[in-house]
Amino acid sequence: MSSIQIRNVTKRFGDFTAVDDLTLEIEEGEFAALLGPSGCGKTTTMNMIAGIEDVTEGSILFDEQELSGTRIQDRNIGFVFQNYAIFTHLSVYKNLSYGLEVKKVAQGEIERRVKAMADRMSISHRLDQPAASLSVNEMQKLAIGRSAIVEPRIFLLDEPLSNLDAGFRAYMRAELKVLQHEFGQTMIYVTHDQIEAMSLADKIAIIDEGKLMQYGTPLDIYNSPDNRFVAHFIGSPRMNLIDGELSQEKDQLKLRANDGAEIKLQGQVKSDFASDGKVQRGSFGIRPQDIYFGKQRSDSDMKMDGTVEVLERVGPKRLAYLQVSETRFIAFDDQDQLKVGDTVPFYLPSAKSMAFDLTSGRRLGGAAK
Amino acid sequence: MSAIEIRNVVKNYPNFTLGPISMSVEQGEFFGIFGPPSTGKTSILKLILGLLQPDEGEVLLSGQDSVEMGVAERDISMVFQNLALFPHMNGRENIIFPLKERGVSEAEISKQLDFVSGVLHVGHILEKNPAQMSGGERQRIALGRAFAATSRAMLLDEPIAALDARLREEMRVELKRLQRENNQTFVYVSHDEEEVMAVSDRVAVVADGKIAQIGTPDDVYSRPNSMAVAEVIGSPPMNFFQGKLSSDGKFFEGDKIDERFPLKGKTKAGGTATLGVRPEDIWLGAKDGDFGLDLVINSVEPLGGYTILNAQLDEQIVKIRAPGQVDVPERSQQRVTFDQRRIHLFDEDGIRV
Repeated sequence: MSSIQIRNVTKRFGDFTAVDDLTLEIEEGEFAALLGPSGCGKTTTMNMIAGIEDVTEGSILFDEQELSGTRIQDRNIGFVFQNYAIFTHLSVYKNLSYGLEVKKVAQGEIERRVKAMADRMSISHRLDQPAASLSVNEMQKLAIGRSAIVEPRIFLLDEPLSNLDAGFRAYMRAELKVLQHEFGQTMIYVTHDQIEAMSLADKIAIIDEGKLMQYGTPLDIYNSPDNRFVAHFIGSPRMNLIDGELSQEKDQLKLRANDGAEIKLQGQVKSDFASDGKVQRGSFGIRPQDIYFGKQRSDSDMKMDGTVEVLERVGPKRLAYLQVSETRFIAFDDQDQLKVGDTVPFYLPSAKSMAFDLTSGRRLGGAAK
Repeated sequence: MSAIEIRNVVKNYPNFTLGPISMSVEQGEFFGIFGPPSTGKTSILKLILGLLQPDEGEVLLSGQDSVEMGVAERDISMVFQNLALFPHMNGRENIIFPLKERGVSEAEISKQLDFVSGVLHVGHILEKNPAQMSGGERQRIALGRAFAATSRAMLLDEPIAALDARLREEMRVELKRLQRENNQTFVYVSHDEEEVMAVSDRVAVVADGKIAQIGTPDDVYSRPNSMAVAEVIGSPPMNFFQGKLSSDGKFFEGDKIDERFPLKGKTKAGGTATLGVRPEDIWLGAKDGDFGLDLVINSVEPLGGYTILNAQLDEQIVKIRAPGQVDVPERSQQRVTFDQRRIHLFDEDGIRV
């Protein structure tokens, strides 16, 4: 078990910069997720930690020790990939024992650890069968068990759940988290699925175009995104982000959306937008669950009138798509009373709203708190 | 008269039988077909389209038996998950191709192109060739080509499955809008439960080659008629507790639950049964008069807008979905309460009681 230090790491492939001056500190025993859209550089980062790719600039350390001279096989890293890399011609037992045999662990000890791991993964009844006979779900359990059994210093998982069906994915998510607690292993988990990252990781590094956008606990990132990219990427359904021009008329600061709606800014979010007088193009953010209908709850909450364009059932709730001029807001139908075509008032609570500079993407005001 | 009606259709395969299936799709309806992979969803579309002929039963189009109708005569279009574009044509030419083939007037073509490209956000890629587009962009152009020409009904087989999550969320609303505004009939197949529930007016849940239930998304979610439906609708899935009904039919006695669960209203007496409770219908904390359990919380998944708690009951993991952000320490014991009004009870055959 080790801590990992990634210091000012850059990776270039020819003219293309895949990873750009990335610095990350992952503590011993921590479960960190690298999250971002495809092509953002997260897998390249993982490959550099593994030693599959060299760094162009900067350094990667395990327990403060430089790794560049260390061979992959000596780094003692456990891997789990999307495509499990199982020896399908060998038995489940052999697959589990293989890593221990390579390390010349004593036979009795191997047997004990294989049994314990098979129990842990609920595949004990399959030990004598060829791995090829396993279901996709069992295959993935075996892949994880096979890597975990050698007790690597760190564990790297690259989209390990993306081949599984939805129900089993939810189950495996819970299972992985319990496993990580039990082993106490340092894990780095690469994914493009924000729900997976939120539910599993102690800390999430959000990467876009090779750059670190934010690093923090799931709730830190959700509650106070540093920039517009993170705000857009985290949360499902996604945050409403209304882009437009800021304009001041006497005391009233307004955001006029590119596609029509006008928000008369009030309260906290108004001061956030006003905190940097140079900003002219802004983005107003509010999460769907924070928008409400019915009676206004606070003077600083901003009233809008929208037409219900579409209603969707999402899990236990209904999502409403509200059209204000050509601007669309997404909200939960919290009173269960909306109908398509209705024009209804709704409220944007100022205290829950966020302000971003549209040009740089930077969070205004609130991020500093 | 329904736009599409399937009556007692059976289709035999070497290792699999589809049907008997009966369903009808109304003019202007957005009809979803949902089920796990390889349960026969795509075969239903092929039967409607005429690519497959039923071994038994009939497919009616606007009330007419379709058995003598060729594929072209049926006037039904189909959109696949992997759509091919003409590589030598740019986005615009691809979209308007079917309209030109049909000899539609220039004015009408330009109107349809504007409409479709607005809805699908493809204005900026109309002049690009397919080779210069991303996968998502190609798929949107392909959808545009399918939607530019109207037909009796449009069959969509996982049309947006290949797009990334954010784009999928946006596209499903656009599909819904497009269908509404053109008053088209859509039959939409997906294995993504959230997607199909979000867009459909009614949903058919397919399991093992049969239709387990047809209803509005609300019906199917709130009153699944069987375990087969309850298991596949909802994420995280419904929690199930095995047990039996007391001889007076007033209580459910869980095999691994000490207390008896009081049942309101009439139920069957005796026999094995399964109690189902959705994760959001289990509340943290005790509530007077309501049934509850003491559970140890294994792990907490903070998702921002809500929190998933994984609790242990014997060998079973019970999933609880709590609104907002809750601070529950892992490994702590918590009293939880089941929402009495929202429980589901299934008999020994898995049929809703």
